[in-house]
Amino acid sequence: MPSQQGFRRLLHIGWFLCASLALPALGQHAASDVLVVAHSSVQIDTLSRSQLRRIFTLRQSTWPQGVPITVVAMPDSNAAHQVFCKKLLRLFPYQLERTWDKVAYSGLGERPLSAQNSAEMIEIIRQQPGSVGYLLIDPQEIPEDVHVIHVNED
Amino acid sequence: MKMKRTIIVTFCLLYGSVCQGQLNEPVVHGFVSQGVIQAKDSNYINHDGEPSLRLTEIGVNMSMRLHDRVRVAGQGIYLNGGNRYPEGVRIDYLFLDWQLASGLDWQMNVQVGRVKNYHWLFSATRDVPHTRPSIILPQSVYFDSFRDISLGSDGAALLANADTAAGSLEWHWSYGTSPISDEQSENLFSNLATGEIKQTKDHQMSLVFKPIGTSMELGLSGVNAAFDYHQGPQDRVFSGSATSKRLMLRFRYSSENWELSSELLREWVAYYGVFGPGGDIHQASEGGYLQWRYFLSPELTLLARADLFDLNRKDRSGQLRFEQTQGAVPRYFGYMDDVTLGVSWNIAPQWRAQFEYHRVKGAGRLAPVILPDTVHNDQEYWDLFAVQIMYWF
Repeated sequence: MPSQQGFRRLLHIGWFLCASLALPALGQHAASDVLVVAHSSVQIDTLSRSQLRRIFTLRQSTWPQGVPITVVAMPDSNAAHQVFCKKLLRLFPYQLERTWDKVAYSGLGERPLSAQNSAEMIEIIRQQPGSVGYLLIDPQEIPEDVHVIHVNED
Repeated sequence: MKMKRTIIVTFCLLYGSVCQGQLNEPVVHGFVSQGVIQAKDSNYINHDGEPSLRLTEIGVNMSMRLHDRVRVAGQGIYLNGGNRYPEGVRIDYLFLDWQLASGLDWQMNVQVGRVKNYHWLFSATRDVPHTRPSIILPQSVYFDSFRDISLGSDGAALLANADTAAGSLEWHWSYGTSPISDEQSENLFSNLATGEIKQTKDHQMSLVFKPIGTSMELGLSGVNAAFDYHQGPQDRVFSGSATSKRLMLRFRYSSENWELSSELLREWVAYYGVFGPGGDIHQASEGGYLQWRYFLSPELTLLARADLFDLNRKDRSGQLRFEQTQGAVPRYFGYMDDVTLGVSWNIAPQWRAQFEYHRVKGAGRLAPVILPDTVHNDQEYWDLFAVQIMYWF
């Protein structure tokens, strides 16, 4: 009997730990999510994870209609950038930075435009045709004139 | 009605010119770096082994879109690396890039002009300090005396990449020749060789595969290069030719806090007629490195690396060459093994300081290659210290 009680107590502790770890994460997930956003002229609604990775590692330079892709990114230290890299691209920020440096200093392409924060990101995405970036935002608060691209996380 | 049409036409023209402006705006980047370097008991940097400021790398590059699918890109650099390679200003790359075709899962480009060597792990940006893991790259693969030749070539390149259900693939091909300066010739032969080296062919190919769902990359690359040598006045070597064929394997695994990379090579080198009648040489070199980097914090990265190189796989101890030259070339010219420890510190955004120490055994990757400098490289073991400050934009 005492051992059964001990087991139950352990179960309770386990549940409590799981809930306390998972709930804040779930809560955050419900409030804000990382979304891929593009200029309103971009006629793509869905991308696979590998297609998104191709765009952000600068291996894809034009949209299917032939419009040049302009990638917009926030600094390494930005929370949105970190979540975007790890969750959607499945890359560590340093891997992305290294790829961009290689591209920019060997003539392969052009570095992404830099946005210091979400407001700047929205501004560039609104103005620059063919641009694509990301936002850590409550899906209900997506700004107007910005096209959201759904990512198939396969 | 007329007014409305005028407004629409004006708007369209304005919109067109704005788009045109965005397309034609050149994007400029660059870097400046200065360091202090000392290679005691070797001629790697200088002949006296004293600390030297001959560790300067400066560069500016530009990329400009001429059309939706056409770009021009170029980079000019100034380098001073002491005895490692000729000092001066040079055009690192200058080419026209045309995106031939693409889908959402693949793309193919062709480049024409002075194209870069994208085939090895660090070859594309070996002169850009902040993109390198260390100030001095592993000499087995990134042999400084061969730098100008392996940097890229005047010719054409095809670059293709695709994503499949198994992972992503990158395939690069290039063909051309590299100009070889008099100083570079001296680095390869020695100042006793007064003639001229000309590269007649530089053919390279590489394939890199990144399996899906992993942080790993695997690669294979090959080089097939040929050279002609024309004898000069009072030359110690004769007119002839040489070929160099290289096969390389590469591996990289990236984790959140550390990264492991390695490149292995075998290089077949042949000299025809250069050493006189009956003096043809055929030899295969082997080497490679294993490098571990640990990201201690966003500011600090540690590096540990072992780099091994044997000039002739059938004479790893250098004994055969020692005997063939009647003792003129010491045994330790048959190999060069290097253990490196380094730290990189991001002082501020776009500013970095790097420090490293190398303990080296052997002189098999020291210039000149063909007639070695046994006077200044009179020690089997030697050390190298280097510190470099870099800024990039």
